[in-house]
Amino acid sequence: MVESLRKQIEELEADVAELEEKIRIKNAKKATTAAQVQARIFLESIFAPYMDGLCDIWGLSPEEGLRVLINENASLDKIAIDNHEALTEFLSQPEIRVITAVAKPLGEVSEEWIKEKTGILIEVMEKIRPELANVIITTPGGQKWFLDSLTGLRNILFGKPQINIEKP
Amino acid sequence: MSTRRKKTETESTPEPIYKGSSVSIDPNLIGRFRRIGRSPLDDELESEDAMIAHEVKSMRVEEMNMKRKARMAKLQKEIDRLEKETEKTDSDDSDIPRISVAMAQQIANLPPDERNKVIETYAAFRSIDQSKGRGDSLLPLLIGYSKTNPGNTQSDMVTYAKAMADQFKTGIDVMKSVMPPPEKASSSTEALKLMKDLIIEGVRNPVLSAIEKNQPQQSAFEQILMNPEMFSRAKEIGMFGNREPRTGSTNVDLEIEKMRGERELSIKKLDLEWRKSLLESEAKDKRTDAVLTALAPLSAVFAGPVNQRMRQFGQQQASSYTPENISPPGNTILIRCSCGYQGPMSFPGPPPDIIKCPSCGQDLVVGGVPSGGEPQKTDRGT
Repeated sequence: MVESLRKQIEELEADVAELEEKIRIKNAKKATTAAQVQARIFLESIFAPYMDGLCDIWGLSPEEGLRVLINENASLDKIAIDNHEALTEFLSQPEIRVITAVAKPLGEVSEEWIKEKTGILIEVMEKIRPELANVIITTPGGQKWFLDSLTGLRNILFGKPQINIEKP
Repeated sequence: MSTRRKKTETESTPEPIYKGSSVSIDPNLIGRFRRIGRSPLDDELESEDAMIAHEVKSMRVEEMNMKRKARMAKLQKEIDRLEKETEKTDSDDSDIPRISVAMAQQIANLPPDERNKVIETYAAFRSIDQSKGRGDSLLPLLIGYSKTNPGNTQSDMVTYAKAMADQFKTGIDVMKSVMPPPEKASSSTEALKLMKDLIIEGVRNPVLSAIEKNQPQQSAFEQILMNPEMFSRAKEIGMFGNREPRTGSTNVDLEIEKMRGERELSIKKLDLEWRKSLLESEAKDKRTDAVLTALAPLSAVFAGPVNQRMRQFGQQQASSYTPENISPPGNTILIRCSCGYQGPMSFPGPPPDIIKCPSCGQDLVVGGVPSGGEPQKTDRGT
């Protein structure tokens, strides 16, 4: 009798674990869909205009400018910190203040979360700006540059404390 | 089957308890332990096999006992027969005429008529007088009478034999009165008795002893099973794998139980902590996702301005940061529009006279002054 009950409990636990796994997969899919929408907004409204403006001044195509930045390991936050005056002016703009105020929780996201979103961003970029995605994927250190840039943007936009460590 | 039922009764094994559709077998019969991967049916079949094996063994022991008993009975019968033959020899001793060879030769030397008379007279007297040895002593007298008085009739010989027998009887009586009573047993009887004793002591008793020694001895386990008292005692001390909890736990047991409990608790704690961190991470991700979802309509509202600000920001960054392998751009001008837009704009060559504001699209004159008295466009050619 006890053995039978134990067996039934084990079966129920296995069923529960299976259901939890299904729910997790479903949630992950849902999260992925939402993340793709968010990635699209980021790429269309933030990353692409920034690269366009940058390359307008340099007189290069966005792909060429992106390749130069990757090769020189000049992440977006690095450039912004070098031009602190322009950054302050940018952050003081009303639209940007609204956006950063609403998206303030993004300042708490972990490196892992950003890493996970980087993959999604590249996937979405392949669809809407394949030439830029191709540069990030094919250029050595491209993905690392992209990840460093996103992490840096989190820090400069949402006030994450900067830790300047001199590397030998 | 009858043997099996009988054994079940003698071992006082509890009857199976029926609980609904399942049958509960007394755990004492199946060793009170359950191994991993074995079903109750396996245990039941195994106990049944063990019981059958025990029955077969008992039957074989019984068969051997019976064979030995039959052997014993046969030997006993042989001994009895020998004893009877001995006694018969003793009892039949009086019928055998005790005629010596010399006496027989003298009878044989007599003429046939005389010889017949002597034999017939001797036989007549022997049949009349059954007492042992009395007729035998008469035979020599009859032979002597026949030799000395040849031709006499048989009645004369009988009269003579009768007279001699009476004298013999009288003489024996006189001798009995004078002599001490003779021993009852003869030497032959003694010899037979001695032989009997020898057979009994030398043959029967050793055989019986050997049979006794050759009886199959039961093993300790069989003795325990066959003896109800020993069986119950063995059950009490847990010889058959008693699964019931012991009333008195030892300190070691308690320590082991404590350690097991602590280990289970620590595992549970780790599991809960892991689940907590997972849930916290999930909650944070959900919050972040919710924020990003809220940004979606907001970004739609601010799409134009944010897009413009980002482009302007990029241009500003490009003005301050020039990569090493890029030649500086030809001409860059700073645009200040009445819509509020302000930012640099570069051209590979000389800038056109009129350009469109990147923000509102208004036509701006290069080098002109805005409506507020300030220049709308400033040439910042580098």
